[in-house]
Amino acid sequence: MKQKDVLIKISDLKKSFPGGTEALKGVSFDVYRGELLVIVGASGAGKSTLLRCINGLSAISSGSIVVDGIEVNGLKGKKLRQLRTDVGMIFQSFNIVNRKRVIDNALHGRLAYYGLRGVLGLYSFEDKKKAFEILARLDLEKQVAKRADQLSGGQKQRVAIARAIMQEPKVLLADEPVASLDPGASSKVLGYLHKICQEEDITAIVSLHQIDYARNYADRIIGLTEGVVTFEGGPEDLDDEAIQELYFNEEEEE
Amino acid sequence: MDRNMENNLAQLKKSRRPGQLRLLFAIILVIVAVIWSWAGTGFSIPAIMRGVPRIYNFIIDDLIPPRFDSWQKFLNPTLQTLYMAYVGAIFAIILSLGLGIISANNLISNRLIVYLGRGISSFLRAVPAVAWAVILVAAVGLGPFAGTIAIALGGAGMLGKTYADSLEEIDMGQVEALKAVGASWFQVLTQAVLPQFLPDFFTWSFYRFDLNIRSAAVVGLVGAGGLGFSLDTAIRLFQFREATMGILWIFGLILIVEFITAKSRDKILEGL
Repeated sequence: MKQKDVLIKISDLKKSFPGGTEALKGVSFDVYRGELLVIVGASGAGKSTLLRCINGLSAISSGSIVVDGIEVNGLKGKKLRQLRTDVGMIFQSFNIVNRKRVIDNALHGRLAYYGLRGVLGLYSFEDKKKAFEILARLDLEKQVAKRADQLSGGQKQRVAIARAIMQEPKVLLADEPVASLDPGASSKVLGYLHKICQEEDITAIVSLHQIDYARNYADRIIGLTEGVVTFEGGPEDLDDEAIQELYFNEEEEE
Repeated sequence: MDRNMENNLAQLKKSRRPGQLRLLFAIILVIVAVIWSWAGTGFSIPAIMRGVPRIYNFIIDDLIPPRFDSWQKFLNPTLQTLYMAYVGAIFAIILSLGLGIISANNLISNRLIVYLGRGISSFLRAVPAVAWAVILVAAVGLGPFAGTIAIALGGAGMLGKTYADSLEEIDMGQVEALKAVGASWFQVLTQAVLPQFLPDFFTWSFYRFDLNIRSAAVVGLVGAGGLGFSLDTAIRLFQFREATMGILWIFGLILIVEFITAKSRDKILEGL
């Protein structure tokens, strides 16, 4: 590993929802610059909530998240948008704009750098060139002019990756990026994600529920169980015993 | 095991009961409402029976055949009706776009603004176009101007609500993704909300234009210009055959406009 330079510092993060459910119960960990951190855990363990707190899509209840020196908690309006330009996000359901072309979706990643021109969807030549280049690196050069709803799931997720990379983010959050894809498309998408993050020197936090993918791609793994960090270590440390504890120990309680 | 199943069945039975009670209550309510309104309107089948020959006589003696030679009289009013419907639709669409957006609870986080938007739409909708026309004819005088505003206000009530409902149905994942790239509210609106909303927008707007043709014909009856005004004039002068000609014009206009809007709507939706 490269030098251990902390990019994101999460301390005693708590998040409760209005109904009273406590999704995160005091989570603390650091994310190092340049690493690919995988968060594993069963459904409902709080993986999505954790990622959504990092770019302020969910407001946290207490604690602190510092991204490259900026405290996320309490950010609003322009400052929050500024933070988000540094933090790309990829979703389980792709969330690309289906009725727009692939190239338009990639260019959406640049919106924060435009004002009214972004409202009208007018982008500079340089940005268009860049979008073509990134889409080509994701092997989507034949799809650039197609409408997004004509693509397969795996292609849609690659468009979403292109959109995030267009932001030139410092960190990329991927929330179950392959949960709605078949195994073939899944490893392909994760492969592209891994490769492009390395090439662009982007720190990535990826939540996954498939252990083998986590072992394949992670520099480091964090395990969440019911809103608490129950595992932290390298992929080689995630042995059967650790997995057992992460996924199967809730049943004993019931 | 069997006793278990019996228990389950009993539970199922119990769970259904409230639904059945509610259904019974609803049926009784409908029956009461029918009887009440029957009495209230003085609806009587013998009166219909007695009326049929009179309607028949009126149609045969007074309405038919239409005075085809009077067709030119209705040419300008027809065009006027068309203009009223069209301009009324444009104004209604512009007004409703604003109303629809502020009434959509997934786009506006301030509850108060959403209630305000919904309230304005409800109010506009609650007043029929003819009632707006009566008020506006008194305010700005006879003619198509009053009719156009009346149609616009009536239409905005409906479109404001349908736009808002359509906007609330969009996939918020796409909206959230653009928020996550740091896009501004207006950027999210045009780049993620609008693309999803456009098909519904065109469908409802064209439908409103169809309805406006009917409204435009009707508001004329209270003096707000167009075919209705000419029709009313003819009836007041007992020129019933001329009136029949006017009704034929309205009929033709509606058919032609519906045909054209259906075609253009399909073309536009195809291209979206």
